[in-house]
Amino acid sequence: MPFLEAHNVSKNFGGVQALKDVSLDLPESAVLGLIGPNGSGKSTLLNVIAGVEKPTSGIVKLDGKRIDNLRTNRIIRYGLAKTHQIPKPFSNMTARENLAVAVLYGRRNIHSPRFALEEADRILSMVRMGSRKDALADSLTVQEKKRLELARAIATGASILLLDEVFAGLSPEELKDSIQLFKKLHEELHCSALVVEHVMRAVLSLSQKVMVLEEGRVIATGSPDEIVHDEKVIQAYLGSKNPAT
Amino acid sequence: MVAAELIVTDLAFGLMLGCVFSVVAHGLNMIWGVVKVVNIAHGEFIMLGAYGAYFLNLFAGLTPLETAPVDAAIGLLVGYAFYYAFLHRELRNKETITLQSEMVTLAATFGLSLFVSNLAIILFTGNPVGVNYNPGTLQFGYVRVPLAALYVAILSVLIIMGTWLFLERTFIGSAIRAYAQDVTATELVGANPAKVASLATALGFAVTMAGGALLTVWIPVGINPLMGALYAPISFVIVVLGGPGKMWGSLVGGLTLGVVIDLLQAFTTAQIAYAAAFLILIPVLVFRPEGLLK
Repeated sequence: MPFLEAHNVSKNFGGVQALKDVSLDLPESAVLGLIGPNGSGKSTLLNVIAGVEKPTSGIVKLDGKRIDNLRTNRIIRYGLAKTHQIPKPFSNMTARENLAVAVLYGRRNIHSPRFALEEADRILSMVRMGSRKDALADSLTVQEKKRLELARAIATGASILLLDEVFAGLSPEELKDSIQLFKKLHEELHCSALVVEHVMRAVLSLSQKVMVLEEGRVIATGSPDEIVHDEKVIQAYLGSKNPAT
Repeated sequence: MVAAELIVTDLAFGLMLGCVFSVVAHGLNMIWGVVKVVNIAHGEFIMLGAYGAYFLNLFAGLTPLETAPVDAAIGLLVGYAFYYAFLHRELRNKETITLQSEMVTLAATFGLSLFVSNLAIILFTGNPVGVNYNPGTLQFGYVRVPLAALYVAILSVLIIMGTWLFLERTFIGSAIRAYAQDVTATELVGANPAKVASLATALGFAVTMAGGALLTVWIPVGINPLMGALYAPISFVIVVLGGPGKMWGSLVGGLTLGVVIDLLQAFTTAQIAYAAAFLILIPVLVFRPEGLLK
């Protein structure tokens, strides 16, 4: 029984078809990579799943229940969380306060700010940001903001993470570090993840399965190894036979 | 020596007046800071709060201090109604308020302002009324302080402190602060934006109407349907001085304005004092556009 599934999802923005009949399933504790050129509909797909955009047609189900007609905040409470491509921290709050809000509102039946702050501290040290917990989100570096975004998604208690380019814009050293951290978190939390990414090295080393979008359509699905050897993918997206950048 | 006494007395009165100004502006500050809507009809709800104090005094014998919580409760309901009537349609499903929505809410609340003040003229007539509340005076050295003004000042500071504690220390408060900073992210952590925004608006109205009740202590014969025309601009100045969305900003702006007005009033006329008070806005906007508070 797949945990998250989408069937024939289409999304139109006026005359532009951003998604055409996209289907996917994300079984429990799996990592599915989502790649494709700019404007291929990756972020739109995440937005539709998270309820930020409503699909024009198609169905999204979480644990067998339809969620495509629900508001984002309800979907978040069912155990799904999404990071934003450009980090959207609550900039005048400290790192721990950012997570505390997520603990309070993302999980059910938690109303104690004190407990939320304790949870926030625990998760911050999990993502190795324990020393920055009292820093204002605004004062964090790009890498730290991305990590805070990830931590906040975890703080909502999600079992499914939709990650929109959390590895983009990092130096090679930071990237290696972040990939390691993500692997560790994935093991500890047993969560599943849908990872949208431009950085091929990250996608290929994290995902069990990779899906390729082009102009809103799925053009290939397979293991990372199959994907890098798929003729259509090479033509449409990679442009060369050596994708490992 | 006489001049020194005069200055100290006026300083004390200025500070007390500043406290009540702060709370009168505080509701505008909350709505502006959180929901990002400037309520042009703000002054009219101060006026309604003041009439609340007048009628509750007339029919139930309540003092302005006792009226404040009643006004606040009414304000909560009015605020919810206001949110769903005027703001919800413009704000829902938007990451930030658009220029068009800003214009729509400005025009709509301007219309509401005209409607409410004219309705008040029909209902209450144009004759000014007042509440008689005089619990005595207190002697501090050579300064005689009316207890009514002192109580009101204390209650005003408590109200501002209360809203600050509510936002900083509570479950719901954390969502309101989050909403003020990023609507999308608020939704992404599981909070319902419309619920948060409507609550913040309702709280703003509760504080505004309670502020109107407290203000009556300072205007013994000044409650009238058009009083909003003075207290709305005062509130705008205070919010800009302190910085929209900063809870203590209301107090900083209010005290500044109160002291300036009272000191100038002692040496010039009331008209010049109020005019000068509005002039403070210019250097503040030039040198510290984010408000006096960091």
